[in-house]
Amino acid sequence: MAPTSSSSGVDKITVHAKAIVCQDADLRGDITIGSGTVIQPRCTILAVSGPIVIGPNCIVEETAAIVNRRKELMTIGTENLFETGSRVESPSIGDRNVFSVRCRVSPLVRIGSDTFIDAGCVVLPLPSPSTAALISSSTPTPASSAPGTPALSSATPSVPGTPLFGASAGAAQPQMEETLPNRTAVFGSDARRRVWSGEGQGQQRALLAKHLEYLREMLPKYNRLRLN
Amino acid sequence: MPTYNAADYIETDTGNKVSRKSNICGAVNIILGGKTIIKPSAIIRGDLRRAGPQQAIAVSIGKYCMIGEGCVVRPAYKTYKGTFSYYPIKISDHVSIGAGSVIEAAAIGNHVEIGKNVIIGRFVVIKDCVKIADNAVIAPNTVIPSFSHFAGSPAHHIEDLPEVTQDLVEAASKSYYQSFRPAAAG
Repeated sequence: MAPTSSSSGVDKITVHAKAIVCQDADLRGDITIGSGTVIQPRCTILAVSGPIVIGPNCIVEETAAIVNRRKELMTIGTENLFETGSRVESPSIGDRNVFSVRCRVSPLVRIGSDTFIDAGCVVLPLPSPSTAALISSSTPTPASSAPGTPALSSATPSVPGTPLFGASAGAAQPQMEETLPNRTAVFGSDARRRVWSGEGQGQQRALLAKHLEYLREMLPKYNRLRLN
Repeated sequence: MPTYNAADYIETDTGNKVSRKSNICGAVNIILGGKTIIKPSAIIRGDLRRAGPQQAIAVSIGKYCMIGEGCVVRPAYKTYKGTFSYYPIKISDHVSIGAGSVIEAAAIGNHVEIGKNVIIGRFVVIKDCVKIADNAVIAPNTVIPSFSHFAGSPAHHIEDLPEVTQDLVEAASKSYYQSFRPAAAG
Protein backbone atom coordinates (compact mmCIF):
# COMPACT_ATOMS: atom_id res chain seq x y z
CA MET A 1 0.00 0.00 0.00
CA ALA A 2 1.17 3.56 -0.54
CA PRO A 3 2.73 5.20 2.51
CA THR A 4 0.47 7.31 4.67
CA SER A 5 -0.27 10.77 3.37
CA SER A 6 -1.52 12.23 6.65
CA SER A 7 -0.76 15.87 7.18
CA SER A 8 2.03 15.23 9.64
CA GLY A 9 3.38 12.26 7.72
CA VAL A 10 3.66 10.34 10.96
CA ASP A 11 1.25 7.87 12.55
CA LYS A 12 -0.05 9.10 15.86
CA ILE A 13 -2.12 6.35 17.32
CA THR A 14 -3.48 6.74 20.83
CA VAL A 15 -5.00 3.59 22.23
CA HIS A 16 -6.77 3.55 25.55
CA ALA A 17 -5.38 1.06 28.04
CA LYS A 18 -8.49 -1.08 27.98
CA ALA A 19 -8.84 -1.23 24.19
CA ILE A 20 -7.72 -4.30 22.25
CA VAL A 21 -6.03 -3.68 18.92
CA CYS A 22 -4.66 -6.59 16.92
CA GLN A 23 -1.25 -6.23 15.40
CA ASP A 24 -2.49 -7.15 11.92
CA ALA A 25 -4.82 -4.17 11.75
CA ASP A 26 -3.66 -1.43 9.42
CA LEU A 27 -3.81 1.87 11.30
CA ARG A 28 -2.47 5.01 9.67
CA GLY A 29 -2.55 8.64 10.66
CA ASP A 30 -3.89 10.37 13.75
CA ILE A 31 -6.20 7.88 15.43
CA THR A 32 -7.59 7.79 18.94
CA ILE A 33 -9.22 4.59 20.14
CA GLY A 34 -11.48 4.65 23.15
CA SER A 35 -11.72 2.37 26.14
CA GLY A 36 -12.95 -1.14 25.60
CA THR A 37 -12.96 -0.95 21.80
CA VAL A 38 -11.89 -4.09 19.96
CA ILE A 39 -10.08 -3.77 16.65
CA GLN A 40 -9.95 -7.21 15.02
CA PRO A 41 -7.14 -8.42 12.77
CA ARG A 42 -6.83 -7.28 9.14
CA CYS A 43 -9.08 -4.26 9.32
CA THR A 44 -8.08 -0.83 8.07
CA ILE A 45 -8.37 2.53 9.77
CA LEU A 46 -6.96 5.28 7.59
CA ALA A 47 -6.81 8.82 8.92
CA VAL A 48 -5.19 9.93 5.69
CA SER A 49 -6.19 13.59 5.68
CA GLY A 50 -7.76 14.22 9.03
CA PRO A 51 -7.85 12.57 12.43
CA ILE A 52 -10.26 9.86 13.56
CA VAL A 53 -11.59 9.45 17.07
CA ILE A 54 -13.26 6.15 17.85
CA GLY A 55 -15.39 6.01 20.96
CA PRO A 56 -15.45 3.35 23.63
CA ASN A 57 -16.83 -0.15 23.20
CA CYS A 58 -16.84 -0.31 19.41
CA ILE A 59 -16.06 -3.42 17.41
CA VAL A 60 -14.28 -3.22 14.08
CA GLU A 61 -14.24 -6.59 12.29
CA GLU A 62 -11.81 -7.90 9.74
CA THR A 63 -11.56 -6.17 6.35
CA ALA A 64 -13.71 -3.29 7.61
CA ALA A 65 -12.36 0.08 6.53
CA ILE A 66 -12.82 3.38 8.35
CA VAL A 67 -11.38 6.12 6.18
CA ASN A 68 -11.20 9.87 6.71
CA ARG A 69 -10.34 11.72 3.54
CA ARG A 70 -11.44 15.13 4.83
CA LYS A 71 -9.34 17.52 6.87
CA GLU A 72 -11.95 17.73 9.63
CA LEU A 73 -12.05 15.36 12.56
CA MET A 74 -14.07 12.20 12.08
CA THR A 75 -15.84 11.20 15.27
CA ILE A 76 -17.29 7.81 16.00
CA GLY A 77 -19.47 7.33 19.06
CA THR A 78 -19.81 4.44 21.45
CA GLU A 79 -20.96 0.84 20.93
CA ASN A 80 -20.82 0.81 17.14
CA LEU A 81 -20.34 -2.40 15.19
CA PHE A 82 -18.45 -2.32 11.91
CA GLU A 83 -18.90 -5.73 10.32
CA THR A 84 -16.71 -7.55 7.82
CA GLY A 85 -15.94 -5.64 4.64
CA SER A 86 -17.83 -2.48 5.53
CA ARG A 87 -16.39 0.80 4.36
CA VAL A 88 -17.37 3.91 6.28
CA GLU A 89 -16.27 7.44 5.45
CA SER A 90 -18.99 9.39 7.25
CA PRO A 91 -17.63 12.43 9.13
CA SER A 92 -19.65 11.86 12.26
CA ILE A 93 -21.21 8.73 13.64
CA GLY A 94 -23.34 8.44 16.74
CA ASP A 95 -23.81 5.57 19.13
CA ARG A 96 -25.04 1.99 18.87
CA ASN A 97 -25.02 1.82 15.06
CA VAL A 98 -24.58 -1.38 13.11
CA PHE A 99 -22.80 -1.31 9.77
CA SER A 100 -23.43 -4.73 8.25
CA VAL A 101 -21.24 -6.84 6.00
CA ARG A 102 -19.87 -4.94 3.03
CA CYS A 103 -21.98 -1.83 3.37
CA ARG A 104 -20.59 1.50 2.24
CA VAL A 105 -21.31 4.93 3.68
CA SER A 106 -20.52 8.07 1.73
CA PRO A 107 -18.49 10.90 3.30
CA LEU A 108 -21.44 13.19 2.62
CA VAL A 109 -23.73 11.37 5.04
CA ARG A 110 -23.69 11.93 8.79
CA ILE A 111 -25.03 9.10 10.85
CA GLY A 112 -27.01 9.57 14.06
CA SER A 113 -27.54 6.93 16.68
CA ASP A 114 -29.19 3.53 16.63
CA THR A 115 -29.12 3.22 12.85
CA PHE A 116 -28.82 -0.09 11.05
CA ILE A 117 -27.27 -0.36 7.62
CA ASP A 118 -28.01 -3.71 6.00
CA ALA A 119 -25.53 -5.92 4.17
CA GLY A 120 -24.21 -4.57 0.91
CA CYS A 121 -26.12 -1.28 1.07
CA VAL A 122 -24.51 1.86 -0.27
CA VAL A 123 -25.63 4.93 1.68
CA LEU A 124 -25.53 8.07 -0.41
CA PRO A 125 -27.03 11.45 0.43
CA LEU A 126 -30.42 12.20 -1.09
CA PRO A 127 -30.98 13.13 -3.82
CA SER A 128 -28.72 10.59 -5.39
CA PRO A 129 -28.76 9.26 -8.92
CA SER A 130 -31.02 6.41 -7.91
CA THR A 131 -33.65 8.73 -6.45
CA ALA A 132 -33.28 11.46 -9.06
CA ALA A 133 -35.83 9.73 -11.26
CA LEU A 134 -38.36 9.85 -8.42
CA ILE A 135 -37.73 13.53 -7.84
CA SER A 136 -38.04 14.39 -11.52
CA SER A 137 -41.47 12.83 -11.67
CA SER A 138 -42.81 15.03 -8.85
CA THR A 139 -41.07 18.39 -9.26
CA PRO A 140 -40.06 20.30 -12.40
CA THR A 141 -36.35 20.65 -12.94
CA PRO A 142 -34.97 24.15 -12.22
CA ALA A 143 -33.43 25.70 -15.29
CA SER A 144 -30.15 26.57 -13.65
CA SER A 145 -28.86 23.22 -12.55
CA ALA A 146 -25.25 22.99 -11.53
CA PRO A 147 -23.12 21.22 -14.08
CA GLY A 148 -22.58 17.65 -13.21
CA THR A 149 -26.06 17.32 -11.70
CA PRO A 150 -27.39 13.89 -12.46
CA ALA A 151 -29.71 14.32 -15.40
CA LEU A 152 -32.97 14.78 -13.57
CA SER A 153 -34.90 14.60 -16.77
CA SER A 154 -33.38 11.36 -17.90
CA ALA A 155 -35.39 8.24 -17.50
CA THR A 156 -32.52 6.09 -16.36
CA PRO A 157 -31.80 6.23 -12.65
CA SER A 158 -28.07 5.72 -12.93
CA VAL A 159 -25.77 8.21 -14.56
CA PRO A 160 -22.57 6.73 -15.93
CA GLY A 161 -19.52 8.73 -15.08
CA THR A 162 -20.91 10.25 -11.89
CA PRO A 163 -18.40 9.37 -9.18
CA LEU A 164 -20.02 7.34 -6.46
CA PHE A 165 -18.81 9.43 -3.58
CA GLY A 166 -18.22 12.64 -5.44
CA ALA A 167 -19.88 15.91 -4.51
CA SER A 168 -21.39 16.28 -7.92
CA ALA A 169 -24.99 15.41 -7.04
CA GLY A 170 -26.13 18.94 -6.24
CA ALA A 171 -28.97 21.22 -7.14
CA ALA A 172 -28.58 24.59 -5.45
CA GLN A 173 -26.45 23.64 -2.46
CA PRO A 174 -22.74 23.29 -3.07
CA GLN A 175 -22.53 20.67 -0.28
CA MET A 176 -24.86 17.73 -0.53
CA GLU A 177 -24.44 16.65 3.07
CA GLU A 178 -27.17 14.78 4.72
CA THR A 179 -27.74 13.67 8.29
CA LEU A 180 -29.58 10.43 8.77
CA PRO A 181 -32.18 10.68 11.53
CA ASN A 182 -31.78 8.47 14.58
CA ARG A 183 -33.07 4.92 14.29
CA THR A 184 -32.88 4.83 10.50
CA ALA A 185 -32.69 1.41 8.92
CA VAL A 186 -31.19 1.22 5.45
CA PHE A 187 -31.96 -2.00 3.64
CA GLY A 188 -32.41 -3.66 0.28
CA SER A 189 -30.32 -3.53 -2.84
CA ASP A 190 -31.64 -0.03 -3.58
CA ALA A 191 -30.81 1.28 -0.09
CA ARG A 192 -34.35 2.09 0.96
CA ARG A 193 -34.75 3.76 4.32
CA ARG A 194 -37.19 3.64 7.13
CA VAL A 195 -37.18 4.67 10.76
CA TRP A 196 -37.64 1.82 13.16
CA SER A 197 -39.47 2.00 16.43
CA GLY A 198 -36.51 1.35 18.67
CA GLU A 199 -37.84 -1.96 19.94
CA GLY A 200 -35.20 -4.49 20.72
CA GLN A 201 -32.62 -1.85 21.50
CA GLY A 202 -31.96 -3.23 24.94
CA GLN A 203 -31.32 -6.72 23.53
CA GLN A 204 -29.01 -5.30 20.90
CA ARG A 205 -26.97 -3.46 23.51
CA ALA A 206 -26.78 -6.56 25.67
CA LEU A 207 -25.64 -8.63 22.69
CA LEU A 208 -22.92 -6.13 21.88
CA ALA A 209 -21.77 -6.04 25.49
CA LYS A 210 -21.49 -9.83 25.59
CA HIS A 211 -19.77 -9.84 22.21
CA LEU A 212 -17.17 -7.41 23.53
CA GLU A 213 -16.63 -9.50 26.64
CA TYR A 214 -16.10 -12.58 24.50
CA LEU A 215 -13.68 -10.84 22.15
CA ARG A 216 -11.65 -9.36 24.97
CA GLU A 217 -11.20 -12.82 26.38
CA MET A 218 -10.70 -14.81 23.16
CA LEU A 219 -8.79 -12.55 20.77
CA PRO A 220 -5.58 -12.28 22.79
CA LYS A 221 -5.32 -16.08 22.85
CA TYR A 222 -5.00 -16.41 19.10
CA ASN A 223 -3.84 -13.04 17.82
CA ARG A 224 -0.91 -10.86 18.60
CA LEU A 225 -1.97 -7.56 20.08
CA ARG A 226 -0.51 -4.22 19.26
CA LEU A 227 1.74 -2.99 22.03
CA ASN A 228 1.38 0.63 22.96
CA MET B 1 -4.34 -24.56 -16.39
CA PRO B 2 -4.13 -22.72 -13.06
CA THR B 3 -0.53 -22.83 -11.95
CA TYR B 4 1.06 -21.20 -9.00
CA ASN B 5 4.46 -20.37 -7.72
CA ALA B 6 5.49 -23.30 -5.56
CA ALA B 7 6.92 -20.99 -2.91
CA ASP B 8 3.57 -19.25 -2.48
CA TYR B 9 1.68 -22.25 -1.18
CA ILE B 10 2.14 -24.63 1.71
CA GLU B 11 1.15 -28.17 0.86
CA THR B 12 0.20 -30.40 3.76
CA ASP B 13 0.53 -34.16 3.82
CA THR B 14 -3.17 -34.60 3.22
CA GLY B 15 -2.87 -32.56 0.04
CA ASN B 16 -4.25 -29.24 1.26
CA LYS B 17 -2.72 -26.28 -0.51
CA VAL B 18 -2.81 -23.17 1.64
CA SER B 19 -1.49 -19.89 0.31
CA ARG B 20 1.16 -18.23 2.44
CA LYS B 21 -0.62 -14.94 1.88
CA SER B 22 -3.88 -16.15 3.33
CA ASN B 23 -4.76 -15.16 6.87
CA ILE B 24 -5.57 -18.13 9.02
CA CYS B 25 -6.40 -17.09 12.56
CA GLY B 26 -6.51 -19.78 15.17
CA ALA B 27 -5.27 -22.58 12.90
CA VAL B 28 -5.55 -25.10 15.71
CA ASN B 29 -9.33 -24.79 15.58
CA ILE B 30 -9.61 -25.33 11.82
CA ILE B 31 -9.98 -28.67 10.07
CA LEU B 32 -9.26 -29.01 6.37
CA GLY B 33 -10.54 -32.22 4.81
CA GLY B 34 -7.71 -32.82 2.40
CA LYS B 35 -7.01 -31.69 -1.17
CA THR B 36 -8.49 -28.30 -0.38
CA ILE B 37 -7.11 -25.09 -1.84
CA ILE B 38 -7.04 -21.81 0.04
CA LYS B 39 -6.15 -18.88 -2.16
CA PRO B 40 -4.22 -15.71 -1.19
CA SER B 41 -5.86 -13.04 0.96
CA ALA B 42 -8.50 -15.43 2.19
CA ILE B 43 -9.29 -14.97 5.87
CA ILE B 44 -10.44 -17.89 7.98
CA ARG B 45 -11.32 -17.00 11.57
CA GLY B 46 -10.56 -20.05 13.58
CA ASP B 47 -10.07 -17.91 16.67
CA LEU B 48 -13.80 -17.32 17.02
CA ARG B 49 -14.59 -20.64 18.64
CA ARG B 50 -17.14 -21.73 21.14
CA ALA B 51 -16.24 -20.33 24.54
CA GLY B 52 -15.01 -22.79 27.10
CA PRO B 53 -11.86 -24.39 28.37
CA GLN B 54 -11.97 -27.45 26.13
CA GLN B 55 -10.68 -27.70 22.58
CA ALA B 56 -13.34 -26.63 20.07
CA ILE B 57 -13.39 -26.64 16.32
CA ALA B 58 -14.45 -23.32 14.83
CA VAL B 59 -14.27 -24.01 11.10
CA SER B 60 -14.31 -27.40 9.43
CA ILE B 61 -13.86 -27.62 5.68
CA GLY B 62 -14.27 -30.80 3.63
CA LYS B 63 -12.21 -32.22 0.79
CA TYR B 64 -11.71 -30.83 -2.72
CA CYS B 65 -12.88 -27.42 -1.60
CA MET B 66 -11.65 -24.16 -3.02
CA ILE B 67 -11.74 -20.98 -0.99
CA GLY B 68 -11.28 -18.09 -3.41
CA GLU B 69 -9.13 -14.99 -3.09
CA GLY B 70 -10.15 -12.47 -0.50
CA CYS B 71 -12.89 -14.62 0.99
CA VAL B 72 -13.78 -14.30 4.64
CA VAL B 73 -15.00 -17.44 6.39
CA ARG B 74 -16.07 -16.70 9.91
CA PRO B 75 -18.39 -18.43 12.36
CA ALA B 76 -21.71 -16.83 13.28
CA TYR B 77 -22.59 -15.70 16.78
CA LYS B 78 -25.68 -15.33 18.87
CA THR B 79 -26.89 -15.31 22.41
CA TYR B 80 -28.72 -18.48 23.37
CA LYS B 81 -30.33 -18.75 26.77
CA GLY B 82 -28.28 -15.88 28.06
CA THR B 83 -24.91 -17.20 26.90
CA PHE B 84 -23.06 -15.57 24.06
CA SER B 85 -21.16 -17.90 21.76
CA TYR B 86 -19.80 -18.35 18.28
CA TYR B 87 -21.15 -21.47 16.62
CA PRO B 88 -18.88 -23.65 14.46
CA ILE B 89 -19.21 -23.47 10.71
CA LYS B 90 -19.14 -26.74 8.82
CA ILE B 91 -18.38 -26.77 5.12
CA SER B 92 -18.70 -30.15 3.44
CA ASP B 93 -16.90 -31.62 0.42
CA HIS B 94 -16.59 -30.25 -3.12
CA VAL B 95 -17.52 -26.69 -2.17
CA SER B 96 -16.05 -23.87 -4.19
CA ILE B 97 -16.33 -20.33 -2.90
CA GLY B 98 -15.73 -17.49 -5.32
CA ALA B 99 -13.45 -14.51 -4.73
CA GLY B 100 -14.43 -11.87 -2.24
CA SER B 101 -17.32 -13.71 -0.63
CA VAL B 102 -18.16 -13.40 3.04
CA ILE B 103 -19.43 -16.59 4.60
CA GLU B 104 -21.04 -16.51 8.04
CA ALA B 105 -23.20 -19.56 7.55
CA ALA B 106 -23.84 -22.38 9.99
CA ALA B 107 -23.49 -25.21 7.51
CA ILE B 108 -22.79 -25.69 3.83
CA GLY B 109 -23.51 -29.07 2.25
CA ASN B 110 -21.70 -31.06 -0.43
CA HIS B 111 -21.27 -30.03 -4.05
CA VAL B 112 -22.08 -26.35 -3.56
CA GLU B 113 -20.84 -23.66 -5.90
CA ILE B 114 -20.79 -20.17 -4.45
CA GLY B 115 -20.10 -17.25 -6.75
CA LYS B 116 -18.02 -14.13 -6.34
CA ASN B 117 -18.79 -11.35 -3.86
CA VAL B 118 -21.56 -13.34 -2.26
CA ILE B 119 -22.63 -12.46 1.24
CA ILE B 120 -23.99 -15.41 3.18
CA GLY B 121 -25.69 -14.24 6.34
CA ARG B 122 -25.57 -15.69 9.83
CA PHE B 123 -26.84 -19.17 10.52
CA VAL B 124 -27.73 -19.85 6.90
CA VAL B 125 -27.97 -23.55 6.15
CA ILE B 126 -27.14 -24.54 2.58
CA LYS B 127 -28.02 -28.09 1.64
CA ASP B 128 -26.29 -30.25 -0.99
CA CYS B 129 -25.92 -29.48 -4.68
CA VAL B 130 -26.75 -25.78 -4.56
CA LYS B 131 -25.51 -22.99 -6.75
CA ILE B 132 -25.35 -19.41 -5.49
CA ALA B 133 -24.99 -16.80 -8.21
CA ASP B 134 -22.43 -13.99 -8.14
CA ASN B 135 -23.20 -10.96 -5.96
CA ALA B 136 -26.04 -12.67 -4.13
CA VAL B 137 -26.85 -11.59 -0.60
CA ILE B 138 -28.42 -14.35 1.45
CA ALA B 139 -30.44 -13.16 4.42
CA PRO B 140 -29.60 -14.59 7.85
CA ASN B 141 -31.24 -17.83 8.96
CA THR B 142 -32.22 -18.85 5.42
CA VAL B 143 -32.33 -22.54 4.65
CA ILE B 144 -31.46 -23.21 1.02
CA PRO B 145 -32.86 -26.54 -0.20
CA SER B 146 -30.95 -29.01 -2.31
CA PHE B 147 -30.64 -28.59 -6.06
CA SER B 148 -31.61 -24.93 -6.08
CA HIS B 149 -30.03 -21.96 -7.76
CA PHE B 150 -30.23 -18.76 -5.73
CA ALA B 151 -29.52 -15.25 -6.94
CA GLY B 152 -30.25 -11.66 -6.08
CA SER B 153 -30.16 -9.43 -3.07
CA PRO B 154 -31.98 -10.57 -0.97
CA ALA B 155 -31.41 -13.93 -2.58
CA HIS B 156 -34.33 -15.98 -3.80
CA HIS B 157 -34.76 -19.20 -5.69
CA ILE B 158 -34.53 -18.73 -9.44
CA GLU B 159 -34.41 -22.26 -10.80
CA ASP B 160 -33.96 -25.91 -9.95
CA LEU B 161 -30.76 -27.66 -10.84
CA PRO B 162 -30.70 -31.03 -12.63
CA GLU B 163 -29.83 -34.22 -10.79
CA VAL B 164 -26.57 -34.49 -12.68
CA THR B 165 -25.29 -31.40 -10.78
CA GLN B 166 -23.71 -33.63 -8.16
CA ASP B 167 -21.55 -35.45 -10.69
CA LEU B 168 -20.71 -32.25 -12.54
CA VAL B 169 -19.59 -30.36 -9.44
CA GLU B 170 -17.64 -33.32 -8.13
CA ALA B 171 -15.82 -33.74 -11.42
CA ALA B 172 -15.14 -30.01 -11.66
CA SER B 173 -13.68 -29.75 -8.17
CA LYS B 174 -11.49 -32.81 -8.62
CA SER B 175 -10.20 -31.69 -11.97
CA TYR B 176 -9.52 -28.19 -10.63
CA TYR B 177 -7.45 -29.62 -7.83
CA GLN B 178 -5.54 -31.91 -10.15
CA SER B 179 -4.73 -29.15 -12.60
CA PHE B 180 -3.74 -26.72 -9.82
CA ARG B 181 -0.08 -27.46 -9.75
CA PRO B 182 3.15 -25.53 -9.25
CA ALA B 183 4.54 -23.86 -12.31
CA ALA B 184 7.33 -25.93 -13.86
CA ALA B 185 10.71 -24.90 -12.47
CA GLY B 186 12.93 -22.98 -14.87
